[in-house]
Amino acid sequence: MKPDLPEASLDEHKITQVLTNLLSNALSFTPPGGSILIKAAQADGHPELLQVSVSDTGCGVPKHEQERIFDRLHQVKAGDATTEQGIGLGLYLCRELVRLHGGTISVESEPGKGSTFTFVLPRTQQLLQTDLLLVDDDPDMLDMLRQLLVAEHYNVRVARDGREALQEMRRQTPDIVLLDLAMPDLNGAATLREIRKAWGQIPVILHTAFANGELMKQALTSSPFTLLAKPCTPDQILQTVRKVQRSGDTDIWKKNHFGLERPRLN
Amino acid sequence: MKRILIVEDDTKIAAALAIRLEAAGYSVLTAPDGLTGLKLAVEQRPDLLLMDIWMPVGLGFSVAQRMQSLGLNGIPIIFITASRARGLKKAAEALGAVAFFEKPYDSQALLSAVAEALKSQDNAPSEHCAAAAVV
Repeated sequence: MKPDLPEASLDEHKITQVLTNLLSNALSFTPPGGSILIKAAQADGHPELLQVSVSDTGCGVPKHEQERIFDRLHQVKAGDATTEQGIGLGLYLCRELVRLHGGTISVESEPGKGSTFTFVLPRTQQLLQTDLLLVDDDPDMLDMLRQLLVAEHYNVRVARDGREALQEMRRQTPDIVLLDLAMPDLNGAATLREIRKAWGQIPVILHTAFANGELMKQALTSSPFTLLAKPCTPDQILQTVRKVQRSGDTDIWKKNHFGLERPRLN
Repeated sequence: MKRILIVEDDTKIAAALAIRLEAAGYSVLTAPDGLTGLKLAVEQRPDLLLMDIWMPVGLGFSVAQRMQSLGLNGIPIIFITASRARGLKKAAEALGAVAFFEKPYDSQALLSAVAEALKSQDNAPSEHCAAAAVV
């Protein structure tokens, strides 16, 4: 294991299972006096990938078996007849678990000399999830929203006011912004105006209890947006976010709830 | 064959681009939004991205930022946009875009830019090709 190994956020249980399977295979196919080596490193030139390999000095896998070895219920006819055979599920399971994690698994082997099983995983799934920025001055509301959406596998970031939101957006552009309208200092309408200036038509959900107020009138000049009226149930929140996510093929993107056309920039 | 990923929410434009690129001898993948595009880029490791900027879910700029974080900055990006907003070109360049086109674009110029980007990518010591072999 290299000392400079970067942090990775993995499903510990699944990855342990993959490692245990590979190790128990290596153990059962390696004769007494053989050696087994485990390596974990950042994939060459690919900082976002973690590469783990398990090598043994066992009987190896013949070339024609190497592709089928991960298939369900496939058993390798080992050269050594006394070698213990499994039921052919172990490597299939490994491949499925690694795939679930967005990774790949492969084998390199020379019969008689040994095998190396290697799996490569993305170190974090966050960058591949829908990135939501939640903006609300009420910490309880923020907390509730965060818990709700994290449980649905969104990558959630939070900001407690408009200024913080703009800062967070400059750091990394989110996919969707869920914006409270009534906030002190830089309110939702003013924040939305700034967002439209710098991020054009990024999808914004306006979360408000004052759907008919003065702030809403101001916000309308920065439409389109999707309105999520308070109070609302967790289900309504999730439905709204999902609708916006899918809006590529619905009319929300082109027109908002008020029937206004998508604005032209400048 | 070089593979190009088109990330564009307007399916008509994506189709028109795909036809031109395929006729020019490239293999083409398409994604209807930025996030799908990002996932495809990670899975398929295309040689080049042709990307719109304003798309629902996953703005082009956000995808470019995330590709950098994922170590995929070896894949050149060409942005195409209908927007005339000032500063877009500068922002695209800051994110390492190799070219920037406004719609309506000149297809010949676009094809040359694609060829140019792929050529300079071949000359550069390509990180992502080496790593693709690992994967």
